[in-house]
Amino acid sequence: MGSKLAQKGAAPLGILFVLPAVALIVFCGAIPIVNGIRYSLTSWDGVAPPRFIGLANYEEALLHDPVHRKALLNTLVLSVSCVALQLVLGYAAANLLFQLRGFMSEAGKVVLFMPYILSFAAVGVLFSFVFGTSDLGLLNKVIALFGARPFPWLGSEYTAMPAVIFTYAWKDFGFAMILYYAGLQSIPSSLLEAGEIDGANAGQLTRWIKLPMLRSVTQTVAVLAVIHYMLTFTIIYFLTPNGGPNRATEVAATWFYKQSFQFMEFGYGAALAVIMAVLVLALTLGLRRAIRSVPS
Amino acid sequence: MKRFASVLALLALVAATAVWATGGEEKDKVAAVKLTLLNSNTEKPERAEFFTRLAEKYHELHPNVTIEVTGTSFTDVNTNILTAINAGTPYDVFTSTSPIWINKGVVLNLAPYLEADGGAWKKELYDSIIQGLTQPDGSVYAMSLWMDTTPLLYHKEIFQKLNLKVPTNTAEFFAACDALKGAGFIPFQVHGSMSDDLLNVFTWQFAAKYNVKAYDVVQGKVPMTDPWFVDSLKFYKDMNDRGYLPPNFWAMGGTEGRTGYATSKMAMRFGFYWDVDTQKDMGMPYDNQGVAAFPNITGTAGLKVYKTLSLQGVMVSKATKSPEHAVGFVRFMTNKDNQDDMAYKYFGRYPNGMPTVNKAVKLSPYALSYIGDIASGVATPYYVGDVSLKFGDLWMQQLPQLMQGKATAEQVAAEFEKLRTGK
Repeated sequence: MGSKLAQKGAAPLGILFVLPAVALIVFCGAIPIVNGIRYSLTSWDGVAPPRFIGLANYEEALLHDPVHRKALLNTLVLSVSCVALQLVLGYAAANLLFQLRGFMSEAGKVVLFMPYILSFAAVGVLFSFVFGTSDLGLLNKVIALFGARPFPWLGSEYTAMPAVIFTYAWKDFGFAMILYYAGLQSIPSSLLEAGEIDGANAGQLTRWIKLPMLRSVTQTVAVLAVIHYMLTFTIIYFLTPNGGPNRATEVAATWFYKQSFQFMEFGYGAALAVIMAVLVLALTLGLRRAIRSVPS
Repeated sequence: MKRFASVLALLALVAATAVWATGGEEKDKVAAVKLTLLNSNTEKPERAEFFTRLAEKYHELHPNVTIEVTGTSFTDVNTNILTAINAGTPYDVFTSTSPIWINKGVVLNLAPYLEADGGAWKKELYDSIIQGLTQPDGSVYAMSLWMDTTPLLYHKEIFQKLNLKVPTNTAEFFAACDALKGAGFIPFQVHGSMSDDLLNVFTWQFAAKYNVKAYDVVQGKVPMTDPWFVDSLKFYKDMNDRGYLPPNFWAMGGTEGRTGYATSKMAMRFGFYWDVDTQKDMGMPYDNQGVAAFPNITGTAGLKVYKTLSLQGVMVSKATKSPEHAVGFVRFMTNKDNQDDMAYKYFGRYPNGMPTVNKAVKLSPYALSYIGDIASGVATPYYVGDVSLKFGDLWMQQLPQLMQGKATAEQVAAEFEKLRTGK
């Protein structure tokens, strides 16, 4: 059929149809990526012409910039914690709603999914009031009921990151929940009934039937979440715009932003972005392989 | 033949008129000037409109000059400036909080214009403002839009109730704080999660004590491990340890700090901002708010009233095609009447300082009490050294460490020294 179409001159027409998409990818994807890599090899303040400095930016970022190292570590901590929380909470909520069924299930889905559709900025502002550092913060008001003194949740290096992780988990787990719920619905009831007849308890049903059947959902959620958290910026910037105490919440994206748009070190900022892109790519591929290798 | 000659003459006349008219048009075109202004004061509609009105007023005075105003936000202003520069169409005039444009060499030096005509423009401004704006090499790159002051504010009613005197030196200052604390008040309101703190709170008092110049500090010329800085850190920490500051103030932002001022039992305020709107919104009538000179905490001649130039400066692009008009517009923006409007009506701050104050503007007793003091004293330079940006960033990291006892003043100072020297 292909050859027939080609004979009729459909191939050039096909190329013509594909061209807009190719042009879009080249202009919005390929060219910026190539330019980003090019600028990462320069010292560029945005005004004077870029000066080629080879791999000096990469050397600085990977060997001599302690803030970048800490930011990478924080990014990893944030990503791992949030992905784990999203998977666990998402599955737990989906499983609960799946068993409830009826109105409660529908209402629960709406309520639990709602944070996910809120804007990142709105959630950032909302939780800055929750974790407010004076006695005006909601959490401080609650603990004051038990006689505790106000605590700087976002001002202590021990609690700033957990507070940020909690915020992300609250906002995002609804997404995993919906996907898991859909996945649970697709599991043939005969499988679950067979398991029950064989005497499997809830834990065994989860371990041997539900989770293996939901592996593709887990893979999708995990990969999307890793990319999302590795590059996350908005909420963390709203909660701790200064990187938190002693860089407790400085992540790769905020450090890249500061270098590029606050200090106007665009060459260095581009190098940080390239490093992040490579890391995200490697992590995503690794994660896909890891999930695939889990035995059914 | 005669008729033919008449027609020819008529045609020649028409042609000559057309040529003359076209030439005139060209002449007008040359005289017509179009300027662009990037204004980042858009957080309130009336502030944005104010700048548009300034442009219109200038056009009325100079009909050949049209000013196109583009509004942007604080957060986007630098990206906008950079984009315009790279597009080859830089804004002729722009407002920005960042010293980075000066360092990049894209800003016009205003000093020759200030000195022109026997220093006519310079005479319109207070000496302290000129001092604050002038770089060590004599250049002036930005005009301050207004001025902030940081006097000692105190709660009159609480002071009367506790029979306290306004402190003038360290001993009296600490005694008053102890009395306030004993009565269940938080003596001082101060916020910590803004980079201004490093350059505003106690540091300059100690800098004045040790004869360290503000410019030298922000340009990274002074060792940060020297006593002027270490002593100021210790003083700050001491204030916290004595319980004179709000709990966990280092994690408190500016707005939260100001709101806390109204809702908590705050006796004094060692603040940075005097914001008319906020004060009114917070239900803090001026009648309850006493104003005093800055206590002399270093034991030597310090700062009576602490003044800072506006965080934003208005700058002229070096690449402007009409420097005379662009500078003229900046001078117009910051002239006496417009300054009064900008400072009192729209921003709740002080004007750059004029020899006389516009009596038509109704001033609060607080403002009036300090008009005289503005003319003298020290203003802080804002538009020098990009190192100050990185200092601010580091300060917000180090302040919690210092206050929570995880780092000593010497260790914190050493971190700053590392940044200064790049080692």
